[in-house]
Amino acid sequence: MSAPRRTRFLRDNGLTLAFLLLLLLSLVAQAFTGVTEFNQQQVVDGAQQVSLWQYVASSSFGVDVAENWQSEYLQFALYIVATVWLVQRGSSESKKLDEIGTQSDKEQLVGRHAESDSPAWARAGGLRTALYGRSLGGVMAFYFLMSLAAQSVAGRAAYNLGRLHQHEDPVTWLGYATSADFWNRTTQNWQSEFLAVASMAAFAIYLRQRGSPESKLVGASHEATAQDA
Amino acid sequence: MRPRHLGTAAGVLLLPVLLAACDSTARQDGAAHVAGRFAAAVDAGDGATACGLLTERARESVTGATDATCAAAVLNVHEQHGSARGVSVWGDAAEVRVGTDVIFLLRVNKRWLVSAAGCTRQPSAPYKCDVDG
Repeated sequence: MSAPRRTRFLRDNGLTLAFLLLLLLSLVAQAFTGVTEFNQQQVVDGAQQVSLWQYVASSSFGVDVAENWQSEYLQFALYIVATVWLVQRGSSESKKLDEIGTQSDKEQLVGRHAESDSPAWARAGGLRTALYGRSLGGVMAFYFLMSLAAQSVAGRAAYNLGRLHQHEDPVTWLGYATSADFWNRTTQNWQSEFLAVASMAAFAIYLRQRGSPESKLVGASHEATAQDA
Repeated sequence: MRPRHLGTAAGVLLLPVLLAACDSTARQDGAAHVAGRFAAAVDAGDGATACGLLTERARESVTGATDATCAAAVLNVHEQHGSARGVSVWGDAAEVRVGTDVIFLLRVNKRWLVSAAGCTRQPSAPYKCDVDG
């Protein structure tokens, strides 16, 4: 890839690439801090300390990653679907008040209303268009369920390791999936995601971030939604 | 993707799963073997062998504040020689039932060692163990 093309690629995909880089850096930082904390507990339990790589491959690291991932995907899945039906007057995060619902084929540019550059499945009609029209929320929901399942499996392994260290019987998957540990980890992540969404929807009515598509124009009315502004 | 490539890809994806399954079985067998040896040694009055299978903390818990040697004190643990069953391994820890006893083990330097033995179940609490390391 030539230098100008590489520069253009980085500019065109900057948002995704920057956040993937932040994800990677955060995972590395989580691994280093996590292994320190894990090894402190190993000493308390009279067990051997582990290396960074052993920790990264462990259920303890896995559950800590999965529990955060599932809550993020839940947040986006719910937000994507909820904003079809729920609106917030004056918020840049909401569509117009009279656009509640899935809207008409004409408004959504599907079927015979598709344009020349519309995706093939938007033009196809029938089941393919119905599926494609729900693919964003659907994929987010799928990743949420997969992450939640991974959390339950890795969480059970980490929980049972702790129980054996404390000389207690391990629990079954169902026992863990209905345990206080599983639901405490889960709900403490969920509450923060819901707070973030509610804050964003409400703050965006009155506050502005110049140049951000997440904000209304600085001079836009408090009454205006993103599309109006 | 051609069928041969599909098979190779499936093999590459399944290999770690198969290796993990084999490792898990080997760990269970290893923990069961050590728990069985410990119970048999105590049952046979072979305190030296039994002590050699304890973690450092477990050895300290056996002798406690007494002047008794580990090899003598460990024989006070009630053990009944029998086949190991109900083996449960999670990470570097294991639980094995031998006879009427529940034995807990830790994996130290790639060896399974007994961390607790002579354990009695307590309602809503950790087991109460004669050896508790």
